Parts: sequence; structure tokens; C-alpha cells
Amino acid sequence: MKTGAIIPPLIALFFVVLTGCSTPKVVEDAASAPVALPPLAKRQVSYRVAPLGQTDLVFIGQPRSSDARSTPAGMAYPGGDPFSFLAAIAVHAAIQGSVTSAAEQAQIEAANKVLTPFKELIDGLYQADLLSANQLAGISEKTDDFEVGLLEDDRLPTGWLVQLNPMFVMSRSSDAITAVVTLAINDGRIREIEASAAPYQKVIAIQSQPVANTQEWLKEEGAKFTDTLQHLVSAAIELGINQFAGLLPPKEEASSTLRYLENGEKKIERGYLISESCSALIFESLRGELKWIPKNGPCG
Amino acid sequence: MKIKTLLLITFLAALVGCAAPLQYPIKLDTTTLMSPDIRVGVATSVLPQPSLMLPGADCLLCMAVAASANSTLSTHTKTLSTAEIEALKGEVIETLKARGKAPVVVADPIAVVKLPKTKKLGEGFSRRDFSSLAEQLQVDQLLVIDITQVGMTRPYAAYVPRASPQARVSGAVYMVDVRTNAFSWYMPVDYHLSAEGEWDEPPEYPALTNSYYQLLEKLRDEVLAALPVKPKETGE
Repeated sequence: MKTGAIIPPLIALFFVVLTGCSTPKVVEDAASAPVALPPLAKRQVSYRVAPLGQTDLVFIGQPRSSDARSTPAGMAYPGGDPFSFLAAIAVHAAIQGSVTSAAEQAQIEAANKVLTPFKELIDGLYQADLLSANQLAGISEKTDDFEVGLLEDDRLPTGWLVQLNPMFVMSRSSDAITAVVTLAINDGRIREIEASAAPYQKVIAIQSQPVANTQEWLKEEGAKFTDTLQHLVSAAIELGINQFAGLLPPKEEASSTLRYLENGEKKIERGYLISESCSALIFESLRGELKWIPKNGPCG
Repeated sequence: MKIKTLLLITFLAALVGCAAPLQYPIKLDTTTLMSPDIRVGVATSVLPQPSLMLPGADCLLCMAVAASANSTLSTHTKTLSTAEIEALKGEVIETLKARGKAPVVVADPIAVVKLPKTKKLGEGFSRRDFSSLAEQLQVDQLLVIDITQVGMTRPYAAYVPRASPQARVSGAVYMVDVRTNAFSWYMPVDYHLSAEGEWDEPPEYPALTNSYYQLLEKLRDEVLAALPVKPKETGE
């Protein structure tokens, strides 16, 4: 066979191989293509709150501000030669590290002493006890802008899904409880959403009205204590949804010095004011937490 | 030997001569303040730009290293506001008015450091001569919120930070007789405050920022608390 006669079949084969390698065109199956979901409205829509689990409450005592905060701290290092200077720093750093961690641990333990009278109450409650369908119905009754209910089965809702993780802080004077709730609102139609992609994720801190007498918490087998925790959880959900739905005023553009009472004393915090009335101060802290503080000013 | 002793004494005398006498606090003379015959002006000094101070980083290279290590905090510190100090002047004026005193509002801040120095007046007297302002402002006494340093401070030992940064506000609040330069009130201000919890949260440093504004609030509270209280109204 002549060489020239071999070339045309080889070229033909080459093209056949090429064609075989090329990605075949796929006729898109309309059913399997990702469907672009229409955006969910934030008002006139339902919000379903994922129930809290049968897990213990996370409750801590409010840490005391360090007494040394206003003391100019410092340490003089021997500077005779570079080696002793560096050695002194290393020794100081090692000692300081262990002293600091021991001091922090001692501070936490000291702060938690405030919980001692309430230990039995706290141990007797699960997170699930703090959130009920009735509470959420109470939120819905207050507004025509949205409806809130408890997510009752494993199926994701067609509206918004609200997930929360609460912890509680008892004030140093035991007169008030603050709920610190991490709250996320996601489109319930989407099964997997990365945490960072949640349309709304916020730490919400809500402080209870202070009680005049700390014994009030323990009366009637701790009814006020439990009611307060439930109310704080509901209030955090309501506040979060209200902000997400644009029902709260926008925060002020510039931060300002905000004053409120904590442990019966004036507390100063820099933040972005959202609203202030005779009954409450709402602001965003410099860390981005949404805070709700009760006020006892004269109304009307 | 005698020469050495003489030199040592001269050196020590020079050192003592250089040290500025410390002005101790003087309680506010409310009689002078509230006297209807005495015109009292209320002013602030020219306020400094908030800044990060790094005491102890003394050599050139140390300064460069410390400045570089704290550049983010330094940038943030410059964004802090001193409007609260200016607002305090307004609150002092309003408080005095509420107590029945009509103070003279000194609109422009006073460049206290540019006033001439007084000579050998000693303790209880200003080291700056306010007499040039008597005619200009038409006042007898001048209440000055004289804040000289605001911002953050972080002590260094050459290249190494000795402690975490703290918020700092320093200076003095005083009332001075503009003719004699005698103080009728002197409240030294040297406030430091660490962050509550973690401080190293760039770029906004929320805890340190809160500490800074807490110090300004402390200044406000202490100045307003020093002013005379409202006389009790009789119910007749």
C-alpha cells in the first residue's frame, strides 16, 4: 500500500476521534435545571422559628469590670544588656500569661457566684422550655406585618426560617437578666445555606426590667424567673424580625454616647442609636450587636 | 573635691529648677463663681487631635517600630471625636444659667499654650498669663476646660510594649482670675482606662473606643458635679 493512500483514512480517523472527544451537547432538562427562586418578601409573610433543643441553659454571672482598668499598667525591664533585657521580657510574659489566665478563671468563678440562689431553677429548665407556640402567637397578635409560628416538623418552611441560640447573663446585683441571643433568618426554601450567607444574622442583647427585690425571682417556684427568660427569648425574636423586615428605624449614621442604668448605676456605651423612648433604648453597639435596654422614664 | 561637690550641688539645683511645680487640686470657690458682681467666662482651650502616645519608645528606631506595630490603632484613634468636650462647655453654661448665673460664652477656643508665661507666682497661680484676655473677653474669672491630651496611650520599653493600650484624657479644668492669675478652682484631669475585655479588635477597637468615651463621660460628670447645686425652692 502506498503511503499516500493511508493518509486520507488517518485524517478521517483523527476527525472521528476529535468528534468523539468533544463534549456532547446536552439538551437541558427543564426539570433538573436550578430554579431561580423569586425573592421572599419580608412583610406579609410567615416566619417559622426552629424549636430550641432539650439542652441545658447557658447561664453566667456578669463579669465584674476589672478594678485595675484605670491603673496605668507597666513593668520596667532591666536593660543592662540585650540578653538580660530579652530574658526578663520572656520571663515576664510567661508569668503574666499564667497569672492572667488564672485571674480570668477566678473572675469567671467569682462572677458565677451570683447564680447560686438560682442554680436549682436553672438546672430545672431546658432551652426548649423557653419557647412555645403560644409565645410566638403573642408576637403575631401585635402586628399585621408578619406572622410567626413554631416550626412543627422537619420540613423546611416556604417562608422564612428563624434559628436562635440563647444564653443568659445575671447582673452583678441580681436585679436583671440579659438574654444574649444569636439569631439568624434564612430563606426556608433553601436547604443548605452557609452561615455567612444568611440574609440576617445578629447578636441581640435584651435586658429585663430590673426587680426591686431579688427574692422576687424565687417566688412561686421561680415563676417570674421562668417568665422573664421566656419573655426575653420572645422579645429577641420579635426585635430581630422587626429589624430584618425594616420595621425598626434605621440606625443613626454616626455613633453617640448612650447612657442607661445597669446594676442600678449609670452605664456608658458608645453605639448607633436606633430608637429611644420612655420605655426602651434600642441601639447597635460598636461590635454590631442589637441592644434593647429598658428605661423607666416618664411616658406621656 | 570641693569643686566636685560644688558641681554636684549646681547640677542638682539646676534639676530642681527645671522641674515644674505640681499644681494641687483647689476646690471650686462657689462664692466667687456665683457672685453677681463677677463676670465669669466659660471656655475651652484649643483641643488636641486625638492621638496614640507611645511613651518609652524613645530612640528613633524604637519610635519607628512602635509606630509601625500600632499603626491600625493609631489610625483609628485619629477618628475619635472631641465634640463631647465642646458640648461640655455648653452644659456648664446651661447649668450655671439654671443656677441663676449668666456666664459669658467664649465662642472661640483659647490657645492657652500660646499665652505668655507667668513668673514666680507659685502654687495656686496659673503658669500662663490670662491678663491679656480680661479686656478682650470682658470677664473677671475664666472657667477653662483645658484638655491637653486625648486618645490612647501604650507604654513601651524601647522596642517592646509593656502593657495593653489604654484610653487617656488629661489636662485640667480650672477657674482663673484673669487679672491676678490666681486659681479659684483647679481640677487636674489624668484619666486612664483599659478596655473592658479584649482590646485588640482592629480596625474599630470597640472596647478601647468605649473606654475613651467613658473617660469623656467621667470628665463631664466630675465637672458638672463640682458646680454648685440648685438651691432648694421654698414652697411659700
